[in-house]
Amino acid sequence: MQIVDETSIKHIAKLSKIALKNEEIPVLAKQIEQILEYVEQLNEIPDNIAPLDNLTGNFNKFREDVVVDFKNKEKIISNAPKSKDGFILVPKVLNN
Amino acid sequence: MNLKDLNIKKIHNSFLNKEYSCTDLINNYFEKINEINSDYNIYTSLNKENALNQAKIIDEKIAKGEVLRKLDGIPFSVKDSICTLECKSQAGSNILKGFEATYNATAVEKLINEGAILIGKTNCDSFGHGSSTKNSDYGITKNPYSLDHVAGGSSGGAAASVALNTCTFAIGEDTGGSIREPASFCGIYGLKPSYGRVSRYGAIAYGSSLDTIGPLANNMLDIEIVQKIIEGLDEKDATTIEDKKIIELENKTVKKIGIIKEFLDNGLDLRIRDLFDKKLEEYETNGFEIQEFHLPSTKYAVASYYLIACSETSSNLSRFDGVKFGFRAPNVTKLEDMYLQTKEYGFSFETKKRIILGTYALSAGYADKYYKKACSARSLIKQELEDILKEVDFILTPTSPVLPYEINPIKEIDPMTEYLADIYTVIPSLAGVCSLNVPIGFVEKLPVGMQIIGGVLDENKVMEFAKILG
Repeated sequence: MQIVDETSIKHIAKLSKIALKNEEIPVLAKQIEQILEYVEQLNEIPDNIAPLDNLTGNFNKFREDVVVDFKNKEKIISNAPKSKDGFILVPKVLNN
Repeated sequence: MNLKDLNIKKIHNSFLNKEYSCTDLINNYFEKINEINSDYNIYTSLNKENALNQAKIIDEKIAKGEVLRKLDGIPFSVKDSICTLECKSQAGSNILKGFEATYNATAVEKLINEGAILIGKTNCDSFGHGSSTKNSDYGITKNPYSLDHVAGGSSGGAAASVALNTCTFAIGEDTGGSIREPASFCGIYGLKPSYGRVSRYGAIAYGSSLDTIGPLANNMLDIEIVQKIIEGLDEKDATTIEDKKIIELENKTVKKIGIIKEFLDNGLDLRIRDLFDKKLEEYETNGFEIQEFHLPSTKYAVASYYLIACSETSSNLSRFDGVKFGFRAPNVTKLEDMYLQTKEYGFSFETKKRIILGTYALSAGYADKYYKKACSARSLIKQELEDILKEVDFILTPTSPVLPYEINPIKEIDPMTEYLADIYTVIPSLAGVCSLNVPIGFVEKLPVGMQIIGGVLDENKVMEFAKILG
């Protein structure tokens, strides 16, 4: 049974905010289908095996909330593709 | 100057004995880089001017007879996906083309504080997405032993920079094998520390629950010196862990070694297996006890790794949207189009594939089936690996089931086959334990490596053991 097709790849790409080149879509559909078929075998794992999502056992390490001055502020702004007067410029967000 | 036989201690002593200056050393390394970089494609940016300025300071220190720090004047390279104040930090990607970081990664900062000098940034698959550097937006890094083969990946440039003697040691990053596999393909040593042992602050994140920073070098002594400097707690990375164990290994104690049956069955190149078996026989003759184990969850490892790493990468890479840094698609007037087109042109095909796979695995209705199951597989793998490590001191495996890939568009390797070849290295990554590649020989003039797997925080033990094996 097919899991993903070109339509669903286009939909997921949209969720990821990625535009795809036309020639990429069928290749992605094929390769992702291949991966998803392969990972099907994980369904054999019984539901009572607790998922591991924290390796070190560290939880919420708190520190004092102290402001530390960052020395390289100008460079942060200068890394932006477009900026003006210390602000980052982006295309207009609101219509009016 | 013979760059081939250099190591940190030798250079340090040569400085003290005034056999050559730090400026001489840096110039020699840059001559070597000029000579070979266009053939091998190791570096994505170079730091010659700063390096020579720093060398001058070291030379003045030496002339005045001041005490030298451990790494004073020692030249090193850093993987492109780790932030450094000097050079660009582009993560091998178009989307970060020209990006200059505003701070040093903690590991780099610690090395610089000991006097090490940054030579340049090394090529890698973009964002660490690959095992051959063919997914780098800056071209493939060639194997030091054959221009027709890859150096491996994703830290392929790092491994080649060391193997071709263009620096004394390298800093790489390993998510599922990205230090160990290229170290194996290039015939050098490479350590993936336990998860949390070295701060990830300043690593451009791929899969945050798997990413580690570690050293690559031509010899174990350098690996050890560098690792001891870069490891430790860092308040800037809340996942760093404290070392509570002090381990001493005595040279002549008989030690137990485990091997994993599932690793030696299917898919392993028989010539690699022969070399590995010969090594095991040698260790047995030298008094090590070798015991065979089963790791039944081996069959889930690649599936678990790719689902978890891609899920995490789909979240981590969402920040590359053309707003704050790097590339922005030109001539766009709408915000949405800026996101879409920036990513379309800025990400490699492989990066897009991994983001899309990860987004799918985390999306509503599928997260339980894919992401959660992958995490359950990770539980099993960690438990089974830890159970084996309770009975033996180390586990030995080949580092890769295959030899370095041939660079040949006609014999293009199926992407799934390339993923499956990560099998031996993703298992320690999923379990968060440390593992080290050591070179064990050659097959058809191409290097072969062996992986020593230890437990969490067992770096010292693993490094001592590697030195005993010689």
